Amino acid sequence: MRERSIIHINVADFAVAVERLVDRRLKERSVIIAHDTAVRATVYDMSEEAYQNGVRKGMALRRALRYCRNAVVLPLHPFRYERAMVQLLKCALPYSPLIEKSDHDGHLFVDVTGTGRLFGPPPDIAWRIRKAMRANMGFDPIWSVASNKLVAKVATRMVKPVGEYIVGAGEEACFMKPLPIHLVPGIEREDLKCFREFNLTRTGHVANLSMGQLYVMFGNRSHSLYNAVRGIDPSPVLPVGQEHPTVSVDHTFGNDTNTTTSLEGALYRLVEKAGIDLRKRRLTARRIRIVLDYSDGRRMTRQATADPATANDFRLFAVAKTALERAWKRRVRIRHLRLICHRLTYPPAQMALFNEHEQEKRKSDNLIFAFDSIRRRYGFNAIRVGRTLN
Amino acid sequence: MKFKIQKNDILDILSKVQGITGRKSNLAITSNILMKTTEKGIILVVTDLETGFEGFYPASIENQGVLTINSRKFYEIVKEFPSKDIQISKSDNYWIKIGNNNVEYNIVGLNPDDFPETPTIENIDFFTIDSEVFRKMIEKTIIITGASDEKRTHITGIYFEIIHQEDKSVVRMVSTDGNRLSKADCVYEKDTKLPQDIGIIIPKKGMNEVIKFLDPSGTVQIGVKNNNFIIKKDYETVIIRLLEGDFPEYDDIIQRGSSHAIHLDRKKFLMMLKRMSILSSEDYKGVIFNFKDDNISITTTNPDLGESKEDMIIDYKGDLIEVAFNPRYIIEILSVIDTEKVVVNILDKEKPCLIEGENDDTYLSVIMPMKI
Repeated sequence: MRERSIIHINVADFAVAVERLVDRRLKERSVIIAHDTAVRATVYDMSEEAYQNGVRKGMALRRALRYCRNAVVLPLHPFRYERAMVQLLKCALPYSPLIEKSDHDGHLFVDVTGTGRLFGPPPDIAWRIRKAMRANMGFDPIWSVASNKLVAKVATRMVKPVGEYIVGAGEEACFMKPLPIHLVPGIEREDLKCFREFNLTRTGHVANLSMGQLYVMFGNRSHSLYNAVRGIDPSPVLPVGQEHPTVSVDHTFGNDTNTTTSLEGALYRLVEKAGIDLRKRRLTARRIRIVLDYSDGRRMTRQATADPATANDFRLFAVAKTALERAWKRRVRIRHLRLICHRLTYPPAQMALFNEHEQEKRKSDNLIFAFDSIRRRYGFNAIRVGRTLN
Repeated sequence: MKFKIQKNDILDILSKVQGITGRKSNLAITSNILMKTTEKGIILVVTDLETGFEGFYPASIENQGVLTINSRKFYEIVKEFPSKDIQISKSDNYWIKIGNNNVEYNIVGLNPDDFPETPTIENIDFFTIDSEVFRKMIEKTIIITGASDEKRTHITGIYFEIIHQEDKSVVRMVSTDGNRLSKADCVYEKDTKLPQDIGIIIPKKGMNEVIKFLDPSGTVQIGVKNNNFIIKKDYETVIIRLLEGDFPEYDDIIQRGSSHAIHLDRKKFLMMLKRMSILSSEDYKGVIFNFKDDNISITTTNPDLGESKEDMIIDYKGDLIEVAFNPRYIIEILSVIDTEKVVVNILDKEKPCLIEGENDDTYLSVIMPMKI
């Protein structure tokens, strides 16, 4: 099997870098981007200067300002970051069709396996992408080359905020061994706490544990951790525009609104559309994300989990409503509502031991099935539920 | 208040109560330990408002009194303390002084009056149970846990019941998560004095803490009074507040019926399942079992990772049965069974599968299959 060559491009402090492009006066000043400028706002991103002063992502803004009193605080501009991500993508597109980009945090994975005869060795390609980004956008990204996404990401974390790193094929385990465990992607705060209790601080310490020992600590997640600490990651770089499958539906209000009935009505319509799409694909959604755009341009995104995964409109709506309640915290009117169903999976196969809610569930599934049949024959608007009639 | 205590007398118990005091509750003081003196020693009290612990430990008392101190910090101080004797005294404004001639800590305490009241234990009909048997019963039932945000009482709790039959009495613990069920029994002779038929639901979180206090030998006393489940040792008592709700009828589920009883080597079966579950993931949990002609074949298919297959020779003469299970469920059951061989009772791909140790009717587990 051919060794893969994955380039990871990481624009450090991406939101700050974008804001500095917009306003040159912010260069070399401490900048904090916060979810909101309200009292209980939290830090979304910060410049290297602010980081050196002790500011961290997720920290309360008030606390962050105590650490870094001269910092400029800016609100989030998600549209700006999305546009900048598209520009980043354009710089990498000439070299490979396999590019995975994050939503708006300045990360790109480019799979350049087998492109050597066309463009030269992977480090040269990475260097050229970086050069294009500097010329076109003024960013100075960190880059790394490795045989998989996980190791490439760890490598850029190693050299942050500037630099590059190349991990040769077969050197993954040696490269990972001396690193602090918190550099490994996918290891969360709770995991770190657990590792600390066992006095495991380096990746190599964890790599010494067997699968059985890890299973005692982390249960089902032991397999992915076992691989991660050894630098094993078989996940592919997905082609551009073919990220993990999602179902996304939008609604723009004719008049901006903040009334519960009209918002919930619009939300239910979105749920119905998403539900039809899911059922057509014979999939269920495990997570629902709501994106709210306010009249003043602010955006709020929140999500909720459906357990078990479902494609039933009634259950999807209950989850979507929870996500909406989490996102809708301001009195400003709402202009746009987006519902995204992600973590799509096949319907749960596990049978239940007790039939307590089985009959109710079957009834509601039958009702949704009847809705679908009517809509297939007479159109989507042939039948509507009461809450969407305002 | 001033007293001197031996490090070894309280270090063990302080480590055991961290699970209770480390849990978040609506009251900040529940992360503290309450210490009150008696003539011959001190009484330690901790609670998380659901599970409470009270224990007596010898100490030489100079002045009587009561104090509260942060449990985690107190444990760390005692653990690292350089000498055997630790002197503890209370100063003004609930400050606590811990030390000897060389080491001294001054720790902020809280007002002991704010510490939640613990239920009084009086006039309870206790019955005795072997400590090791009780520990195993808990271990066999708390392996089944629900989701962290689960609210249904029959899933967050263990059903504890006493059944009086013609020839014997049974103390039974049953646990479920809606997909599987575990039942552990302790059988008593008919003449043993046990409370009348009771059926209560005890929180699994509390039972997790109880295990820490159970010794490998000896006995403990169990009682139920005023919505509390009480476990009593010589000088230590754990009190758990009961959950209110109904436990589903499970008698029909644990009936064997006309299923095939397949005898398997526990260790071999366990290792086989561990190997086959390597390829299972959150989205593809199931493995398919094929029972046919003295052979069991297990296959896993995960479109993201690949496939695996393993065969084992068994004693099975019936028709082909193809059935899918979540291997983690079976692995967890096999891990708590003590016998060398297990009996798997299986009927078809839609009926529950019963697993128990060979010649051991004190434990039974039921698992629902997955749709293929």
